[in-house]
This record gives sequence, C-alpha cells and structure tokens, in this order.
Amino acid sequence: MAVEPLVGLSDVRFGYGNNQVLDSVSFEVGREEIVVIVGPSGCGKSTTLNLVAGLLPCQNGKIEVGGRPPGNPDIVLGYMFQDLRLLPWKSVIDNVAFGLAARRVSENERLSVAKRYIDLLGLTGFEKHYPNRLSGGMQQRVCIGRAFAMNPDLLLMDEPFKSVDAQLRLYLLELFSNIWQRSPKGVIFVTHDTQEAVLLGDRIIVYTKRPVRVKATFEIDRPQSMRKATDPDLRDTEAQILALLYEERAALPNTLEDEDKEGVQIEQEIECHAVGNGLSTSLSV
Amino acid sequence: MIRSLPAYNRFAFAPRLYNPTLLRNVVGVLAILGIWQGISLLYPSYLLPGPVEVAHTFLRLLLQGEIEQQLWPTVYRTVAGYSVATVLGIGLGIAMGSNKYLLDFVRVPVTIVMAIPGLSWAFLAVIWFGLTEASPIFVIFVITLPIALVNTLKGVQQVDRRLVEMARTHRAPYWMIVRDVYLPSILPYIFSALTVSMAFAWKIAIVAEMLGSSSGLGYAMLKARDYIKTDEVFVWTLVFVFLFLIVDNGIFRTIERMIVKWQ
Ligand SMILES: Nc1ncnc2c1ncn2[C@@H]1O[C@H](COP(=O)(O)OP(=O)(O)OP(=O)(O)O)[C@@H](O)[C@H]1O
Ligand SMILES: [Mg+2]
Repeated sequence: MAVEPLVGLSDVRFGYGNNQVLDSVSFEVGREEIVVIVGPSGCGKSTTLNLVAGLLPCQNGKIEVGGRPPGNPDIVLGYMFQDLRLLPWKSVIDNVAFGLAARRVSENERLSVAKRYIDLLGLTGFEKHYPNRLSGGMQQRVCIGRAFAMNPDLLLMDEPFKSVDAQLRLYLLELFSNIWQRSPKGVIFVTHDTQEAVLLGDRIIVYTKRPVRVKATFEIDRPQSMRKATDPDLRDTEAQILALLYEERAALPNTLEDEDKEGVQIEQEIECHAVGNGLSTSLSV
Repeated sequence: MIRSLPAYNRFAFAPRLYNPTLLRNVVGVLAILGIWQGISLLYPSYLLPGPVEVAHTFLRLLLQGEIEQQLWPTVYRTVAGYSVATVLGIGLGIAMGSNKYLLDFVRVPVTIVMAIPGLSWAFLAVIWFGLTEASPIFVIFVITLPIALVNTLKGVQQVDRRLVEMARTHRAPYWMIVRDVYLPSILPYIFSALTVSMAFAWKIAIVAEMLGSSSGLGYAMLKARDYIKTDEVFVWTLVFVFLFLIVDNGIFRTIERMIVKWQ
C-alpha cells in the first residue's frame, strides 16, 4: 500500500476577486515531512496555508488533508499565523494552553504542558502576563508555544522566527528541530530565510511571483540532526534558491537612471525659474 | 547628639495624608462653595440660596423623611425601565450584529427612534398613560433601549474575525469561541452600553417625572419651583447629582475595572 500523504494539493488555483494569487500549485506533504515554502513577498504563501487550514474555500483544483477536504476533524492542526492572533484577554499560559483546551484536555494537564513549553521557549516568569505587555519576539514565542503544545499532526508555520535576534533564532531553530525529531509530524513552513529553509526542509518549494506556480523543488535527504549551516552542499542549495528568488524579485521602478534624468530636469526647471525671476526683478527695477 | 532628620523625611510616615492631588481637589471644591456663598449674599434667597441655607434645607428634608420618600420612586422607575431596556437592547444588539438581514431591517427604525427628543416621549407618555407609574418607566425605556442596542452592536461588529478563525482552526467548540473570543471582546462595549444608558436613564427620569408623575425627584423639584422654594430645588438637584455619582463612579467603574483587567 502506497503511503498516503498527509496533505495534497493538486492544481490549486485561487484568487481574491480579480487578484489571481495562485495559478497552479501542486505539492504533497508526508506525515513526517517538513515542506518549506519560499517565495517573493505578497505572492501567496499565507494564502496557501489558509487554504490548507480550511479558512479559505478551495476554488479550483483539489486540496486534501488526511484524505479529506480541509477542516478534517481527524487531523489535529496547529497553525502559527503570520499575524500571531493571540487572545489579548488571556494570560501567556492560557494562550499557550488554548489549543489543548479546545481539545478538552483537562486543566491540570494542559497547564503543565503549557508550562513546559513556556520554559523551553524562555518565557519563564511571564506565565501570568497579558500579551500586550510582551515584546514582539516574546509574543511570537507564545504563538510557537501554542502551536507546539497541541502536538499536532499537521503544523503550519508562517514565518515563525521573523522578529527575534540572530541568536534566539538559532536557538528556536534547534528547539523546533529537537521537538520535531522527538515527535515527527507533517509541517508546512513558510520563511524568507534561505538558511532556515535548508536547515529544516526535507523539501523546499520555491514560488514564483503572482500568479503563483511552483518554480522549483529541492529535496534534501540528509537528516536534520546532521545538517550544518556551513555544509558546502547546503550552501550551494541556498545559493540556487537565492538565484531563483532573485529572478522573481519585484521589478524596480523603471529604473534609477530615469529618476536621475528627472532630477536633472527638475534642476533645470529650477534654474529657468531663477533666471525668469532675475529677469522680472531686473525689469521691475 | 541627635541630628535633625532631613526635611523630606518628616512627611515620609504619612504619604497618604499628604496627597497633593486630593488637596488641590478639596481646595477647588471649597473655592466654589466660597464663591457661591459670596454671590448668594448679594441676591435674595428665592433667587440664589447659599450653600449654608441649602445644607439646612437638606437636613430638614432628610429628617422629615421627605428625601427618602421622593428618592425611592425615582430609583424604582429608573431601575425598572433601565433593566428591561438594557436586557432587550443588549439582546437585540447581539442579534443584529450577528445577522445582517436583521440589521438591515432594524437599522432605520432605530436611527429614527434615537433622534426623537426625550421631551417628545415624555409628552406622549402623559397622553397615553396619564399620571401612572407606566408613564416615566416607558420614557426611560424608550430612551435607553436604543443606546444599549447601538453600543452592543458596535461591540459585536468590532469582534476580530481573525481571532475567531484562530479558534476555529484549533477546533474550539462553538461555546468556547463564544466564551473565549466573542464575550471578552464584546464585554467592554456591553459595559459602556450599561453605563451610558444608566446616565441617560437618570436624567430622563427627572424630566419624565416632572411631566407625568406625582412623586419622585422630578415631581418634587417641579413642586418646589411652583412654590418658589429655590433652596429645595437646589436640594433635589444635589440629591440627584449624588445618586448619579454613586451609581456611575462608585458601582460601574469598580465593576469595570474588575472585569477588564487585561487592558
Ligand atoms: N484577505 C484578503 N483579501 C484580499 N486580498 C488578499 C487577502 N489576503 C491576501 N490578499 C492578497 O493576496 C496576495 C497574496 O497574499 P499573501 O498574504 O498570501 O502573501 P504572502 O506570500 O504570505 O506574502 P508575505 O511574504 O509578505 O507574507 C497579495 O496580493 C494580497 O494582496
Ligand atoms: Mg504571508
């Protein structure tokens, strides 16, 4: 029996009104596989995650999660949103425990699980704080905690490490990697960081700019625990991804040279004015 | 040899007794009372009774049981009209906020009702109900209902859809979404629905009682005016002000602070 993938997208199209976002996107995510999506800003990465989470209706093509349409109750889903979406009226620990509460885990158990993740994420002492008293990076970690604490079958992460410093980012990467190795799950991980991509991804999907197609896919066989950021072949892959992203970069306003010309023109106009003024003053005198 | 303590230490034992903000507040009130007393000396008492005279009258009416006698009808009517109106208004506000069709039906009537002056209602109430209990209660009801409704509606409309989505992706059951997402984000609005309606309820109660009642603060005030007992007009006004401040500042603000502590 062929192993059925956890998530499957085939020829998915999606648009908001006239704005065609996904043109044709197909990929699969295995039950214990990390798929990383990279792509230019605003192309449709978050949209893809929202489609998989069932928050947006699939307009065209087919999306399956656990062999059924998105929203399948058999698959426990953890989603770390790009805009976090913490509950401002709940303390840190209750936010982290939210997913567990939604699954009717007993209060004692969910608080002890939440506490464990709070400690792992370096938020000890802030359990009773409310989110709007925390820094951006701390709020982000609360969100990571909420997604991890549920021990989901499928984890969607939208730029989870974006507003933390370089060291904390490495620590969180390692933490993520450790947690995943202890209990592997299907992950779709969106990032702008190519290093993150090659360190975590079993598969890396590069998106084109809108309307999105899959531009390229990279497979990395080496187990995560054996990857180092300095490995030459990982760096090579990184370079390739960067090159592909560079091709998809937003077109610069046509171009700096034109602007220079404009600048010169404006200067000339100013000069003309100055001369004109000079004339008029000399006339009036 | 005993060295004298530094000057700033002398008040260190009594930081609460020496409270400059409170002190300034008290001075402000005393100043007003002084000015009032001063001006009142220039005019006859039926135009402007002084604070001392008003205090006398207050004590007299209090001891005679007159204040109690007029206060309770007003409290009773206000609470009656207000509670029915807010329960209905909050309920309707939630319903309208969660159902677009209902909102479309009710929006225009509510806007019109809100634009009707309180006095018009008071006149109509006398015509319809005469000098009965129903008359002031009705006026209070129609004035507060739309206020409670509109505030609640605003609360429902500003609920962050993204938080609801978050809860849904975590498969939170519906009751949990209501408890953990809808209620906490609507609660501050419900609160302002309650406080703002209460303020309007008290004020309109006085007007309604002047026109359509034979007891209560409004009625007492009208009677005092008819007999040109200006000192009593002042007393009834003060009774009203105290009542208002106690309910609004004392009760509501405290509860609000207890509930909305995350902000
Ligand atoms: N709710 C929405 N309504 C209408 N258009 C939307 C909505 N959300 C996103 N879009 C549009 O869809 C496109 C893709 O947005 P999306 O958020 O998926 O991009 P992204 O790849 O996640 O970008 P980023 O890397 O900046 O997060 C954008 O053009 C955006 O304007
Ligand atoms: Mg995004």
